[in-house]
Amino acid sequence: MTLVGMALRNLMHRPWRSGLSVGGVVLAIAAYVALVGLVVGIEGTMVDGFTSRGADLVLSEAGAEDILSSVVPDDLAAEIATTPGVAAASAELGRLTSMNDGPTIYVLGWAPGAFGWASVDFIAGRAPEPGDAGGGVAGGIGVGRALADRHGLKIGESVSIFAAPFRITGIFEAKSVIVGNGAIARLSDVQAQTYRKGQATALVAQFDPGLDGAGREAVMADLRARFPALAVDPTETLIDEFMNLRIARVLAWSVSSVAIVSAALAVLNTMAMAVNERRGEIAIMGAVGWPRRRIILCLIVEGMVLTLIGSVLGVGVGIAAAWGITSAPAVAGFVVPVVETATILRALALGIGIGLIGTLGPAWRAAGRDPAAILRGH
Amino acid sequence: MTGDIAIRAEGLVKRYPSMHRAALDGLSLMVETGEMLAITGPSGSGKSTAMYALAGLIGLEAGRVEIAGRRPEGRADWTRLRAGPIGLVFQEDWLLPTLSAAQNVAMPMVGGRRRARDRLIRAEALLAEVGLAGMGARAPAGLSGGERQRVAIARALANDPSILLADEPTGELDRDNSRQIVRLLSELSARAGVTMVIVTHDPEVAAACTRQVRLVDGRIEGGP
Repeated sequence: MTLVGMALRNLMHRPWRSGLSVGGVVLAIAAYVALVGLVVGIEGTMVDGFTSRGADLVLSEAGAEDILSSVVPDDLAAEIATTPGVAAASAELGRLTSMNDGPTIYVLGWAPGAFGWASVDFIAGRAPEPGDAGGGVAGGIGVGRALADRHGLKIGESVSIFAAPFRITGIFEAKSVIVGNGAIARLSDVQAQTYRKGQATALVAQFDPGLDGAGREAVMADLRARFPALAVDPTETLIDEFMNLRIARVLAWSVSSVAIVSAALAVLNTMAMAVNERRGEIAIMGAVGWPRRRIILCLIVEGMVLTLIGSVLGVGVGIAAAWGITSAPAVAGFVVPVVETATILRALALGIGIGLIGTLGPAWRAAGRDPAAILRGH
Repeated sequence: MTGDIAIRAEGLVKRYPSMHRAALDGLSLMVETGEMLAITGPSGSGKSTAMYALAGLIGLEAGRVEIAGRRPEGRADWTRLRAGPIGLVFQEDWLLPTLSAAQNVAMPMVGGRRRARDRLIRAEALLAEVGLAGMGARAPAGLSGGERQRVAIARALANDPSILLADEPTGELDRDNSRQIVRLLSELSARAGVTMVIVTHDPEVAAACTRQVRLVDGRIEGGP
């Protein structure tokens, strides 16, 4: 018999109460893991959308809430491309829109010769060309394989995008989830259908190969000086700029915090009740020579076992919930949840914290009670 | 009896807020090593309070206790004594319902030098000593009142104490079980030389002891 063995027996002795407390911890940890996993996933999907096509830098409208709200002149791409240290630059126009009045998809408009074209692999058909527009057709469009598979799209088929008919010219594979679940058309065709002639949402650029960190910083400083109305961000830190993602992060933390505080209260309640019911048992521990710290440790172990079981289950449930949420039709293809090892470790640490907060108080109080009064039945 | 002093209590005073007089009113008491002393007296005379005072389970307003050759000063000292030379038996058995009989007996040994397996082996041996051989796996709920009190006695012997303090150990038992427990305590005292102080209101239990003192109003009747 060990302290852990005693804790397990006590928990199993009251299976309903223990089960409900574990359930509270599972919900809290699952909420944390799922929400953080989704936010990190959204951030990662966005960053991946740029990095997978070789963009080192993203230039967008300074102060824009997010990349899709940004408006920048597309002709700046040529100027940016001439900046020393910049290998290539191109304009792109990204929009979220419905396809055939149905699912929302991400549509990108890329200029001819944009380096992004090299990052997608047309496994059937071809990329859109200038001659695709005309005769009642707004233009050609390439669709990602995941999007084509999900909606049974075929080459030559006409799809309604921006309430205009686009003809599918090819199906491509992309490394990025969001691009692979979206569609790519020519920049001019997208501009024409969205009343954004001469406009783009972002200008993407590649550094000269071999440029070191200091060189990259110098290029960015140069661009910021030359284009003060633009936000110049390396793709890795792009997400820090956008208000919507910051709000999502705060919301994730807020909801997680509420769940975690609720779980701590549930454990506190469980342990307070358990300790109160077992005053006699705790008193006899003191009477047979258990020092106060061992009695407290015994009760803490009980709370910790409860919360550790809940935390481990919570991590599993959280991962499953995150994947379940992202497979819902409304968001499928936009987000891949990312549950990092650090998130799991933080979740387990939170679980341990819940156990300590919920257990320490009742344990301390119980171990400090006068055993004589309890043993004599007073 | 060896003539050595196992317990020396001098001028113990204990007041409870709910009582108009002292529960212990300058109690002084001496118990020799190997002695089996019965403390008797009417209800409210301070018998149980005396036992709790000798075990360090209550704080005192005045007086001092020397027990097992030590003069404990604070809570930690008393805790160490109860984990070693002092064993305790109460009117209720206070067995932990989630543990088996053997695990209950092994409970005081947790945190000591013995490994978990050795603790259980010793617990089984102690159960055999109190007449419960082979019953270590039983849950307390599956034992009779007398058997449960035997387990409690085995638990009190877990750390090989030299002094056993018992508060009404037969108080909740029928006559037969009560006699068995008294016989067991007498055997332990005779065989192992354990010094015993037994608080009881039962004349038959008191008669089994080697000496009796009677407490009245928190003092020994006829004492100093």
